[in-house]
Amino acid sequence: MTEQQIHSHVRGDLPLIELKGVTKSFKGFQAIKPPGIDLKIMPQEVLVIIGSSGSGKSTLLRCMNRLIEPTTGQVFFEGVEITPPNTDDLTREEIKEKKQKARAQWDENKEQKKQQKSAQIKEERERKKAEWEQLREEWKNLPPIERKEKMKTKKREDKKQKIEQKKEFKRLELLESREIYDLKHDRINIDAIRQNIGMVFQSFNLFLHLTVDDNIRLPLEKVLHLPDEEIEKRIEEVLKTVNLYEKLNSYRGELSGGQQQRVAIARVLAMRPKLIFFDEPTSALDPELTGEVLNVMQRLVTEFHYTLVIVTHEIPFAKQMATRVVFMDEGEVIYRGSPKDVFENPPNDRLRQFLSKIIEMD
Amino acid sequence: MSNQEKMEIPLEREDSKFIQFISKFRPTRNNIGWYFMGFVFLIIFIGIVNTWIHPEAHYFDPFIEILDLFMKVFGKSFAEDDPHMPSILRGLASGASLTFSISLVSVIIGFVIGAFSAIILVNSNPLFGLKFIAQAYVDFFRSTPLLVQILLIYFGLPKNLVYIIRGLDISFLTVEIFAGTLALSLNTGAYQAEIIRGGILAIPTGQTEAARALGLSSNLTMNHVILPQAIRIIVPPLTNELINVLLNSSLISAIGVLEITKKSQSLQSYYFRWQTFIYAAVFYFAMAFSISKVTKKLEIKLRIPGLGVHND
Repeated sequence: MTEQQIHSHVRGDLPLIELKGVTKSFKGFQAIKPPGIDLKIMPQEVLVIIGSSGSGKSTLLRCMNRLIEPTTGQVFFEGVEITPPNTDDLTREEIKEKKQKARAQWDENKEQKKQQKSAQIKEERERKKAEWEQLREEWKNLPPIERKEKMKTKKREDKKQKIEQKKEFKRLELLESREIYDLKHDRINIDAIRQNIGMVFQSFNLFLHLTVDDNIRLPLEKVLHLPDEEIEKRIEEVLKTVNLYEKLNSYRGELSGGQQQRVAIARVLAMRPKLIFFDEPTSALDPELTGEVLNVMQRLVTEFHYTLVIVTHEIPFAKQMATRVVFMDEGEVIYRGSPKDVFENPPNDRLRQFLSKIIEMD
Repeated sequence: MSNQEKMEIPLEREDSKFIQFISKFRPTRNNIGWYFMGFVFLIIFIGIVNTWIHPEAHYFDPFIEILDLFMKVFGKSFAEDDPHMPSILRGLASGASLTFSISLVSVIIGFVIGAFSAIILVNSNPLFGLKFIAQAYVDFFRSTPLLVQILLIYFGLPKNLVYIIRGLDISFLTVEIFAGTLALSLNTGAYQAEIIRGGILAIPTGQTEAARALGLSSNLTMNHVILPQAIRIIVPPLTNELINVLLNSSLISAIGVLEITKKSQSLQSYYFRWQTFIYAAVFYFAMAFSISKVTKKLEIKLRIPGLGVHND
């Protein structure tokens, strides 16, 4: 696999995601209870969250990339706070002032960029002029028919170049709009954060109206604005990783559950995220199909050293892969520790009860 | 041995290129409808060209002649059976063209209005009162009768607007037609807004979630994930609405637009032929039926494996 896909983080001590006192309450229902959950997810870690249904595992996972807005608490991604900052101690005027300042800064930046661009265009034009003059002098002594032909081909090349340049300019402009801090509105650009956090769902959630190929292509094209060759390369690479390259042109209806989930994983991998969330990835599959999805997940860890956060009921898998296990019950983290502690000699009564029930079922 | 050799000789001759080309256009169950529709449109087109050459002719004349051919099989042609019948058919045909164009225009305007208000209504934030306005519009036009709306708009048009329309002096844009089209398109816009809103809400939330988790902004999610799926859900109820508009356009006869219903009333009272209404019904049926068939084709064309139920 390419170097880009392996995220070996130099800043090993900086947590990828950090939660500080996160709580969530829906209407009349505390999904994550106060005082809230503190959690750090370090690079190259495989964190497994277990617990019975309705204990707030999925809610916690969604709070981490703000698919669900946490009621209180802070979430940090690589040290940057991605939840809206606390403004309780600021007056209304101060907030307004801050916003205006950010807006002014944005305007200034925009003006600067405009000037830079116009200067660049001017330079380019002058360079072209000089080039043409030189060429004209070179071709002076040629017979007129040959000269005309040469001029034609040169002009055609220039046109092609110009179109490509325009495309590149547009791409760069679009990429600039995806900076992490949105100065125009004075807030974090959450979409720019989320492109670094992959998420795989329980119900697969492939886009129903698109083929496998287009499913993977859509975010690469519209979010990362990659050039076409790069997109093709990534699609091929990623689909070969999950052994589904032959299903390139099929729709969701033509795939089995396990294949759908593998495509969903491929779609996430193509974005080259820094960490991936798995929200019960195998609970909608039968035991036979579960194996193929778990295999892919295992390869992510052993071959590509991804950071994973997995909500699952697959205890054997958790035992094998996890570096750390968090047990949740009724909106609280009851126990956290290494898999050895959790599964072999559970120190907590509630945890012991939960594990014995699951083992009975197996 | 000799038997085997004989067996290996290909008995079927390969078709020549011309025959291969022709066989693509062989009428089958799938394309016979298109041929029929194309034939009808061709005749109407010939009729329209004919009116450019002979200004006193009617665009429906070639059609009547072809119908005459069928009638002659049973003995008499239209004119021999009843001398007024051709002129009744001609009158109804001009009414039909007016009905068709009015309902087509109002459906298109209604779709634009409906799409905008649906997207506004789906939004969770109030959008500076836009959402309230859209909701009020939908509520008003869905809970009052169409006839009242037509009368209200016709008699309530501001005077200046009436003068402007009269001043334009275009033969096909009278005040009555303008008011009728406006009422129809506002009415269908409200219904279409609800249809489109329903289509958007029918998309499972997992799709939005997956798109947002990949980093698509809410606008990109709407354009590339939600709307393309919603269109496939919308088509059948939108067909209903299309046919409704076509049939409801008979109500604008109340303000004196000479479409099929008004035309048939006046022709009946002029010639005393009750059969006029049968022909009027046949005109409506032909238009509504062909709309339903065409949109069925569209529905099948938009179909994708795994999305929706296929039972035909």
